[in-house]
Amino acid sequence: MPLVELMSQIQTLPRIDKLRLMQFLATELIKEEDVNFFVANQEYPVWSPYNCSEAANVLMNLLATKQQERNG
Amino acid sequence: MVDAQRFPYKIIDISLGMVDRMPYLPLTLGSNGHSLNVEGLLDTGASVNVLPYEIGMQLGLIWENETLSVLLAGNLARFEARAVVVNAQVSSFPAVNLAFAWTQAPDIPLILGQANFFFEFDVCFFRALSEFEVCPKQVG
Repeated sequence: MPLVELMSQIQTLPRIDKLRLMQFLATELIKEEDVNFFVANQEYPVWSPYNCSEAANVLMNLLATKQQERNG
Repeated sequence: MVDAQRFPYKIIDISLGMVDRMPYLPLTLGSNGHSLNVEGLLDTGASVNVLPYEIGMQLGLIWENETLSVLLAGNLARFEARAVVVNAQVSSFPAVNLAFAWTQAPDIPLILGQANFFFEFDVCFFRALSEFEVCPKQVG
């Protein structure tokens, strides 16, 4: 999309979206200047229930039971 | 992928630098006559699907009625979880039953993991494009 066309579309955005666009562009420019993947002192939560094979067995058995009830 | 649907990564927090977006899939969950539009985090490292307590409540689930306990690991290990099955609809694909570990852990995302989301759906991640593709499992 040509820049002129993009700018004309941006003009139609509500004020709050223009502010969000400015925020987005600033972040994109920072990424180009600084290739650090992580931000200092920022939390990166990891919620993965990893290595829960027993939990997976419980859920799959429940699914099979429900399916049998539906078919029976 | 045959009949695949593409979705954009969701921007979660622009203050996180490069790690600012994640693959959240929009889907509709149904149970007990309740229907709810939600977003689930596609997590290939998760052994199971995880349903946040509040979403389960909105689906009409009653904690005391679900008696099958599930033990989770990591950050979720401290909280009790119970096995539930809900109906799930992704885009225009046929609905499937998804089993979830319904957890009392607060402030967590709805997680779509190996059992059984990735048993039912094939997914391709195009992180460089901030997009991912989903289609029902290809059988045979």
